[in-house]
Order: sequence, then C-alpha cells, then structure tokens
Amino acid sequence: MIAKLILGCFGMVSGIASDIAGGQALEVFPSSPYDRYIVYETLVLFWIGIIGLIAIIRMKLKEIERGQNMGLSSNGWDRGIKVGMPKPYDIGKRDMTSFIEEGLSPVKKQR
Amino acid sequence: MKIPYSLVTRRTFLNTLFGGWLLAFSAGSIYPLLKFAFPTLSKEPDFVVLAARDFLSIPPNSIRPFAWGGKVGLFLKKTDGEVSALKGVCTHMECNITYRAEEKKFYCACHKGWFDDNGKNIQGPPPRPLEFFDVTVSGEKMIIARKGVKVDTARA
Amino acid sequence: MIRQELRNWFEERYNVEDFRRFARSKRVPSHSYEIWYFTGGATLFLFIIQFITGAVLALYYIPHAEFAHKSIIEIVTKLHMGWFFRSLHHWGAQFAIALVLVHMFGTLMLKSYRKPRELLWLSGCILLGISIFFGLSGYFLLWDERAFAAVRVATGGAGNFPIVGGFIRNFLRGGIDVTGETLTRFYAFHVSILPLAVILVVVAHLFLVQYHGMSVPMSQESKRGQDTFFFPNILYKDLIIWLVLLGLVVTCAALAPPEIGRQADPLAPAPENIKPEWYFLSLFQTLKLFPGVILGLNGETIAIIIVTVAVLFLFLFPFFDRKSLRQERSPVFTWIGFIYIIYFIVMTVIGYFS
Repeated sequence: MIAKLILGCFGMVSGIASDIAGGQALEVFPSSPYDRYIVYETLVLFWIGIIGLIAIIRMKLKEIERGQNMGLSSNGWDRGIKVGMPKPYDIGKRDMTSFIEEGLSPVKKQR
Repeated sequence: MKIPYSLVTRRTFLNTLFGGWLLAFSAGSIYPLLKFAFPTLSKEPDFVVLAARDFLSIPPNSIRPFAWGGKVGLFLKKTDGEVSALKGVCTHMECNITYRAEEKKFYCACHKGWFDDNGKNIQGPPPRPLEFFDVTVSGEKMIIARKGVKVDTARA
Repeated sequence: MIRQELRNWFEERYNVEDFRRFARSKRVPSHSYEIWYFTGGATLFLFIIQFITGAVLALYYIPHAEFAHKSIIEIVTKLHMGWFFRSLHHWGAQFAIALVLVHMFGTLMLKSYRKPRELLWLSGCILLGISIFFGLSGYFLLWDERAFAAVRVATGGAGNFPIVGGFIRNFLRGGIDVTGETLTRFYAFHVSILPLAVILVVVAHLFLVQYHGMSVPMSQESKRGQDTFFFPNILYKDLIIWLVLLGLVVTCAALAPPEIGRQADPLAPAPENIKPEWYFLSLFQTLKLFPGVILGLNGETIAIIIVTVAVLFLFLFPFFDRKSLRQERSPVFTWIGFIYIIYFIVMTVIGYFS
C-alpha cells in the first residue's frame, strides 16, 4: 500500500515535471548509456548496503530482546552476571534467582 | 582443529559487523557529498582556442591577455613580429604580471620582480622563469596549449 | 580498552549515571497502532536530509535574478554529481512534506492532540505552515517560468485577504510586483529565516513529546502490551525505517531528476496550463470552485475567508473537540478529521488531472 502510494507520487511528480517544462527541457539525467549504467549500478550497490545494514540491525535487535526477556539489562551484560553467595539461612530456598546481580564494571570508578 | 569455545562473544561479533558495515556505508555516502562540496578549484585547461585574427593583428611589442582557466594568459608579439604565449602569473607569489613595452620586460609589482621577454627571471625574488605555451595557428583558430600537450586540431 | 578509558575519563568528570538512568527510563507504549509513532521521527530525518543537501547546494547557487537560473544549470551540468544532489533536494522536499501530512493524519485520527497535548498539535500546525513556505520559497529559487508564475499566483492570492492582504502581499514580494527583490527575499526566507524558525519550533515540539510521553489512543488503553525501551530497541527500529526512507528518496532522485524550464521573464505572459506544486493543488482547486462574484462581493475574498475559517478550525481542533478533552470517545470529530483528509486527497487528485 505504501509502496503504491510512493510509486504514485513518483509518477505524479515526474509527469508534472515533463508536462510543464514546455519543450525546452534540459537533459538532466546522464544521457550516455555508459553513465546511465554507472548510475544504475551505484543504485544497486546502495540498496545492497541498506538491506545489509537493516539485516544486521535486525540481528542486533533480536539479540537485545533475547537478553531483555531473560531479565538482563542491555548495559554491561556482556561482562557476565554475578552470582551472590547464599547465606546459611538461605539453604533450602527454591527460588535461587534472587542471587543474580547485574554485571558489574570491572574497573573501579574514581569520584 | 575445532576449538570448544568461541573466540568472540555474540555481542562483540554483532557490534563489529554493525560498526564496520555502518562505517563503510556512511563513508560511501559521504564521499560524493564531499566531492560535490569541494570541487577542484581553479583547474587549468590543457589548451584554449582563440580567434586568431584578434591576436595576430596586435601591434608589435605589445601584449593581449586571454583567459587560461581561472588565471590570465598573455599573448606577446615582439618587435620583430615573433609571437609567443605565456601564463601571466609571477613565479614568486602568483601575482599577475604586466609588460613594460619600453624596456621589453615583464614586471611584477608585488615584490618588484622582473622577467625578460623570453620569460627568464632577471631581477627580484621570482625563483623561476615564466611558463610559456605552444602557439599553433590553424585557419581561423589559434590554439594555445600547455607545452607537451598534443591537441587534435580537427576536434578543437 | 580505549573505550573503557574514554568512559572512565567522562565518568570522572560528569554524572553519567543519571543520564543512563534517564535513558533507560524512556519507554514507548506497545499496541496495535504503534507504527504511527515512527512518522514523527521519519519526518525529522527527511528534514535533516534537506538541511544537508540544501547547505551543499547553497555553496553554488547565486540568488540574483540574472544569475539564479544559470547557476542552477551550472550545478546540474558542470559539477560532480550536481544533478543528483539537486534532485535529492527536490525529492527530499516532496517526501518531507508528504511525511508531515502523514504524521498530521496519524495524530488527527488517533487524537493525539487531546489533553494534555494541545500545544503539540499547535506547534505541529505551525511546522506544517513553515514546511509549506519552505516548499514555496525553495521552488521559486529556480527562477524558471513555472516557478515565477506560481509565486505570482500564491502571493497574489495572499493579497486577497481582507484588510491585511495587501500588506502581506507586499511583504512577501518585497514590492508591489514579483521581481528580483522577491528572489532575494525568498532566498533569505528559505536559507536563514525559515531554518531558524523550524529549528526553534522543532526543539519545542520534541521537548513537549519528551515531557508528555507518547500518547496512547483511547481505544488501546486496555489492550496495551508491555512498554518497550526506547534505547536501544525503538531507536534501532527508527534507524531501519530511516534507512528504507533514505533508499526510497535516493532511488527517486537518481531515476527521476527534476527538470528546469526556461528562464523567467517578468514581462512575458504566463505559460499555458500553469499548475502549482502538488501540495498546493487542493487549495488551488478549491479556489477555482468559487465564482468571480458572490452576492456583489469579490469572489476571491469570500473564498479566502472560507478557506481560512476551515484552516483555523483545523488549527484549533483540540479546543473544539470537547469530548476528547474529557478523554471520551468522539466519533463526530473523527469523521470531521476524516472528511478533511479525504477532501485534501480528492482535490489534489482532481487538480492533478484537470
């Protein structure tokens, strides 16, 4: 739907542009086939670049969502999760997830 | 030999891939933009074509300027009728020079530099002689070309 | 390693933790209409493209009546990829205005203008006005026959406002008629005054969005999923949409570069079948509907007054839609908004084909 809309706009504007120029249109698009093919080729490469970038961003998104669903923050989870030590009165606890702390920065901050 | 662990984390791999691709894409997109914004300024041509009549008819021991790219070129006719063309730019600090007909020398007012009518630097700070061009007359046209440049007279 | 050292350098001097906490706290609601949230950012992206391409073109354009047309031909023929950047600027403008309209359509239908976000709607309408003026002033800089006639009609139309019309027209034209002075004036608008205005209003608009958070449509309040993080989830999705838009604009620019007509001649008659840019077509068509004289009064003036009332009504929509102010369903105003949009589209299409 959006693609049609865009193609429609594109057709509309190029139509207007060619009608109104009134015969004295300036040859703007590179005319020689050699130059034209360079433009098409560059366009194809450009789209490959964009689609590649989108694919990578999607991969990153999936990865981050995976981590978020596990409950890790997207800040420093690369450094691993730290597991706190259970105290003597914790023995026998069923839910051990309360011992998981978020990854701490390995470098001490100086204030 | 297969190692049982991964050398990089998934996160590092993805980030590197993303950063690298983004860098390549951005560089490729910005390059034409920069090329458009910074054109090659004052590009000098390899040759210029002028109307022969206008230049050959000047009185002896005088000059006539012509456009050489963004700079000035000088067409010189000596007292004996010999013609030559040179770039009218001083070799010291690129000021425009002038021709002193009485002394048959070129003079640069910026730092009082003098050249003889063959372009040799004879007095003042200019370090090198003036640049001379090749002059070819073909029918109605006069072609002034940089030394060593072959010009196809039919196409010019 | 270097990244960590850089991080430490900053953390020793600035309170980064607060920033991080604020960034983490930004959430975006999730529901069936969440895709409309992306229209605002997309519009901003298109405007950024316009700023960049416009700045680069301004390095070569000469805003003088005698040289304007020639300078554009120089850009398009002599400079490296000049034709492409001018084309990109042209297509970027079309996409930008189209996206502003789509964004406006979305907020109108989803009633994002209801309390407490009325100021967002008002600033948005101002931005629409600025964008259209950008389009008109930019188009005039071509100084070709069509642009010249278009501006004559547009400023002449503004002159039909009762009382202040003449004053507005003379201010826009820089005189009584469209001349080289108009070119200088429009250039000043396009390159300096409007960019300043748009930056100020956009900053205000964005600040208000941060302050209020994203509006959730009334029908979706109960159906909300879990909120998503803005950093980095929504930001990545934004980036994907921006990349697709960039691809589309570049493709249009490369395959369909705009042409440029003959140089304008103030003394020549207007060319045949003159039509304004597409975003003016609906207004143009509406004005054509009115006869020359109505009840002894100037038809043009009546037309302008009616159109102005309609525009003002849209501008003050949040204040008329009392029900939505109270957070109640307001189908009447949904229909009114819908009629505005349909009218705009239909008149534009008629204007194009007539």
